[in-house]
Amino acid sequence: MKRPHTIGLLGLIATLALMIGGGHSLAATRAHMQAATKVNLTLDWTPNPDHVALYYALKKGFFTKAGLDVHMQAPSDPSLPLKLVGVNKTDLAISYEPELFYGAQKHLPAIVVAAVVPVPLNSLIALKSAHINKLSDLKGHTVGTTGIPSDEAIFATMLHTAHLKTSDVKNVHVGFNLVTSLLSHKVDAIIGGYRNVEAIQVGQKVHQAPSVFPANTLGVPNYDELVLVANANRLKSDAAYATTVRKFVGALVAAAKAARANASDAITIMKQTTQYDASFLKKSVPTTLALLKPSSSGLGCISPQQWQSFGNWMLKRKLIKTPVKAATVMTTAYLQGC
Amino acid sequence: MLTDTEPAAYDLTTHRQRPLIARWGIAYGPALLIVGAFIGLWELLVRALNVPDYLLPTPSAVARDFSTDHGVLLSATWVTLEEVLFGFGIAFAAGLALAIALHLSSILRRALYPILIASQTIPIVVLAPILVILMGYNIKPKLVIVALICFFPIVVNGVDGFRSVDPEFVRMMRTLDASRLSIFRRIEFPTGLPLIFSGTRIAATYAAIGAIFGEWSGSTSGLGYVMLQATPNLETARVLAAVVILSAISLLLFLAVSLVERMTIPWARIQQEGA
Repeated sequence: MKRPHTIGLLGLIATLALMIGGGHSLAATRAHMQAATKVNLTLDWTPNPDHVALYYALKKGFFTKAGLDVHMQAPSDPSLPLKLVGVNKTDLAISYEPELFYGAQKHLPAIVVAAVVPVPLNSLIALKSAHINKLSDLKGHTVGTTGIPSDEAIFATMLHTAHLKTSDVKNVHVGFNLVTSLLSHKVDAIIGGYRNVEAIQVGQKVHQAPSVFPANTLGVPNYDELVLVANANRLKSDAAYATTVRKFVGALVAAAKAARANASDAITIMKQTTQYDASFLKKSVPTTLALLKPSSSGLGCISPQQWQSFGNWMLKRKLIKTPVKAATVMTTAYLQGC
Repeated sequence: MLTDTEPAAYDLTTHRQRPLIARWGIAYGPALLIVGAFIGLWELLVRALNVPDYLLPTPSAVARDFSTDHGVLLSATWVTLEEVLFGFGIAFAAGLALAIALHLSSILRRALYPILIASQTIPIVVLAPILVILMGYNIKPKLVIVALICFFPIVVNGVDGFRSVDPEFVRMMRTLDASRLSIFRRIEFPTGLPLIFSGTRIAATYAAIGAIFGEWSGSTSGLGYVMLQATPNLETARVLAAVVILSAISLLLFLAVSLVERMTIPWARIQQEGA
């Protein structure tokens, strides 16, 4: 009965070899992870298509390759990430450009190191049935806004651009019920929705793409909708942290480039990561990927002139009380090829 | 609230009634001391630990915010107060009416009671936007939200209160050939009042929260709107100033209900003190 013994022995040797190899690999991975720098990143809100580059980097190993062990968490409110990075309760945060100017007024030590979405996503969105094909068509209509100060300022700027008076267009504060108030015809248009999220949701519900006017077409200076924020004081005092930030930015930019070339992989990743349905993501993710690289600049790049222009607009619209120098809230030092 | 029969009202060595200031001091002094100590500790810790004001401002910063822009806070307070008072009034009227209906009809009680309990499990943050869409961007959905949050303790306590009557009294009324309505009016309703007021006091503490949820779903004014505006601006002192005003509204409403109870059913308080 030699054969069964031989087969059994060979099987045992193969099993042992697999176990040793697997264990080695596990140990190698563990060692690699132990060597990797842990990075806590607080998102601006729950995972959504705006975060496609981040999740692509996470799931495709861009962060791991850069020696980073990245953990992402969603905040309980959108203003929290900036506060957390300011007090070093999180290593990095995703926030919004206006928040950095508000933070500067409060001497919050936060600084932008890269753009996550380098164009305005906030848009005036109107159903086609409202026949708002240009801004002047808003006369006599109702626009729903969230009520937050920056959206109010966008509304006021839009009126100025369209040569309309406040009496010409009714402004209703709908809180964050933008899509429902538009779909139920309580308002004719909304400000505060994003062209890559709410505009697509509305279009899918009414089976017709809505009219979309991004904020920079309403007279608002161009700005970065989502930005990556680090602690300014820590960047100066902690060389290891500065290196981590540089690696993170490099990995994010590489991931954004790869995601743009692999939209279907990006859609799959966002399907696994978010609660949005597949048909929505099939439209939203490619739309977002296309917006990650405006023609005039590289991925992740931020422009000091653009930031100063936006800061000046915030001052003019009384969103901030004193002028803020763009160089105090953003830096290009961690970017390459901009 | 003090009465002449409460022990603290009398100095037991001299057997004389203490002055009002002394009586209030004995009744409310401990609570005021605790609040004062808490505020003092908060001020001290925030300063000592250099906590940034956008994270947690000092009590003195919150107090300063009242004077900086008191016009904004004052006008917002009137708006929210209107929502709280009218919404609370609707909750009381609807809650009492429902409690009476459930007590008088066993069929209604069996049909509606489980649904009433289930209604309280629906998060108001889910319901509020739907109500705003249905009723429009005006005061109406806010009144409904306040009423929805406040009516349940009034209903439950009302039903329990009406059922807590001594059965001997009911038997006695029946032997005197009293009608069902007469039994309810003369025995069950007065018996239920102390518990109804107890439930109403609980509801009073929730009314302000209901108004805030309503304003967060769509408003152009009110303390909720002020908080919505102040949060992205990192004006945490303003947010806390609004919270202080909301707490004051809740407290005043609670005390108002206690005062109405004292005036409506003075015998209930004497019974409690006798026991």
